[in-house]
Amino acid sequence: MRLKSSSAAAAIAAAALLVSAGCVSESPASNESDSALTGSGTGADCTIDETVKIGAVFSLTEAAAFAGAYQSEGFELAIEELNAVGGVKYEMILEDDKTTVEDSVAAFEKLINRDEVSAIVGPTLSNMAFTTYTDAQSAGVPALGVSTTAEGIPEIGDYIFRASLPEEVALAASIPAAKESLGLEEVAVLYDSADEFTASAYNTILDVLADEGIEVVVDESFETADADFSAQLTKVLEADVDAVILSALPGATVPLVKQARDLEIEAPIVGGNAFNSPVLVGALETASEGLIVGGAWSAAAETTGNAEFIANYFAKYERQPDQFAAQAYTAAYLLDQAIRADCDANREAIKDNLGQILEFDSILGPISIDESGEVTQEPVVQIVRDGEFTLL
Amino acid sequence: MLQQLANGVFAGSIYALFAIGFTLVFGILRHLNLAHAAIFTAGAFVGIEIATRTGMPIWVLFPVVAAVGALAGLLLERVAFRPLAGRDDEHFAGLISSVAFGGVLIALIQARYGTEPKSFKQDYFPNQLFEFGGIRVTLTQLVTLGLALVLMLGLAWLVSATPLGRAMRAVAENPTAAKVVGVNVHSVTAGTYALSSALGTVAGALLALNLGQADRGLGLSIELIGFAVIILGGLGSLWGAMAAGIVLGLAEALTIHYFDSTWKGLVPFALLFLVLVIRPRGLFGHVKVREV
Repeated sequence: MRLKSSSAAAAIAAAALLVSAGCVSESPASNESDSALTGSGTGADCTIDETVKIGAVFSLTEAAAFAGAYQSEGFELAIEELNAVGGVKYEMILEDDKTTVEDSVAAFEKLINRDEVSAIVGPTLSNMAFTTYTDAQSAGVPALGVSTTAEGIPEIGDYIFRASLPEEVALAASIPAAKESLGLEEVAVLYDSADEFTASAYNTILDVLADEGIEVVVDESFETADADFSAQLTKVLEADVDAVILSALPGATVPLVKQARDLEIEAPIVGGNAFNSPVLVGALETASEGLIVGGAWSAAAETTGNAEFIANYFAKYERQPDQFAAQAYTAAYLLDQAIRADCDANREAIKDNLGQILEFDSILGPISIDESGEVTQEPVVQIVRDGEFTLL
Repeated sequence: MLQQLANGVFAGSIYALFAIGFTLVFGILRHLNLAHAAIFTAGAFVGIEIATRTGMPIWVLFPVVAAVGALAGLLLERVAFRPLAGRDDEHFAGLISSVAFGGVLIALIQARYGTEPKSFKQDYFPNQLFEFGGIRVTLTQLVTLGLALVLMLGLAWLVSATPLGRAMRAVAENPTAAKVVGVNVHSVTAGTYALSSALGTVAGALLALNLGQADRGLGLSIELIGFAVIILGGLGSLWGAMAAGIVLGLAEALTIHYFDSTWKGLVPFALLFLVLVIRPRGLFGHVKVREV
């Protein structure tokens, strides 16, 4: 098809108009503080008249819905509890990024410009965070990740924080713990090479194994959408290893572990954050026995408020919470801390105070966030026994 | 090595089962039915639900799943293909309307089963492990291979030796002439879709049983390789689809064995191009492509 010259000219003119319109709306973000979001008193006595809007972007549908649904529930529960305390009233504006970068960017755009939220929690996956956090940074909106564990996330800028234990910390705890209790010498490493999170964890696994002096005798990859792992597992079977270290999203973990047990691969399977879910244990049934999991939260941990959190969550949603729910729940409390510190819910104040959180007593245990945005907390290592997570 | 060959044959038999349903419709009606992957996925979910609710034994489950698939096939033909019959752009429009049908089906699956994967109960089908001369196979794998062979041979018999098969071949040859000699083209078309979708749903349920779970992406994960199987085998050729399914299954397994699993995605498609360059009509395709 060829355009006539007149319609081509019209198209160019229209495009030029769009571009200039785009430029107008792209004016640098104004960070004038809204005095209505500044209250009186500090800490527990803080009172802010205006409702504080917090955006939440999670993958509620498609590939990462296994995590996003729990995150939205955990976050919602915490917001309800915080509103019951009084003084500061929160409104949660929830957006579904459908596990795509495009929808995630659109959700951030909407929350930042239309809803003018004070801060954003999420997104679910690191893949999306690398793009959306650049937008949040340039708009000057504090963003707090609750499951964005890939390397390099807090480095995006000074408005970017995370309350999600990095995978390398989880693995650096679970592999030595497994070595100590099981005496590992030779292991197989299986990982999903098509996902940023699992591929970055794979590099960590190799580093930790090298540090611990454990030999990798089988090193195999697969892709996120794969469902049949028999060829890779045959190699594992032939090598007769002491353990299998697995870096996979839950979608692949279930069939992979089941197929391994079907082939009578008896070696224990060690994994990181993505394993830490009662849904996984439920789906695997007896095949979950002996899974070793490093993570940020355990239902068995006796941390402040953990028992109440589990009871309230179950009462509200009729299912057991998982680590994703626990981390999103904690994020709401961290934001509340940051807002109450100066009794100021403006973006700038939240940014300044989120980076000052020291040993906050949460259901994840004492948790700190430094100025660079990185979280510090003790990882927990668990093993599945009789269908339940127990501390190793 | 032998174990990897066995793995390849098992994976390949599912590819073949997916592909023959697809190629059947193309061979007879020249329709590209892009809803086939969604029907395959639906078969997995329906199988899991029926098995979990009723606990019916596996040899009853598969005929029931096939019946559900046949109904879905009739509906697909009625809403996505029949209204377009006779239009100039019949084939292209059918392609689009089948994509739409697949989209609706996947949305319905999500509405009914949610976004999390579903699985058969662990004790539903006892998965014994057998060892023959150093090769380990599970009972599920044996059932899969056996059922795939029975279905493929059954289909070949149906097409070559029954009145329905004769009518199908007549329609494939020339629909107008078939009508003139008294073949009910409408019912042959509907029957072809029913048969194709029944095969698709059984293949989906079998794959879910093998993998231990089903999610909404199950059909997508096999669709591309299924298309490669069909092209490799020769579009419209049943025997070609069977052979190519096994060939691609073996190619994948051997790639992982000799190279690295990252090459797994490349080798089947490289093989596809190689065959097309040497033998453009595919392994079993004839110059006159239309056959059943």
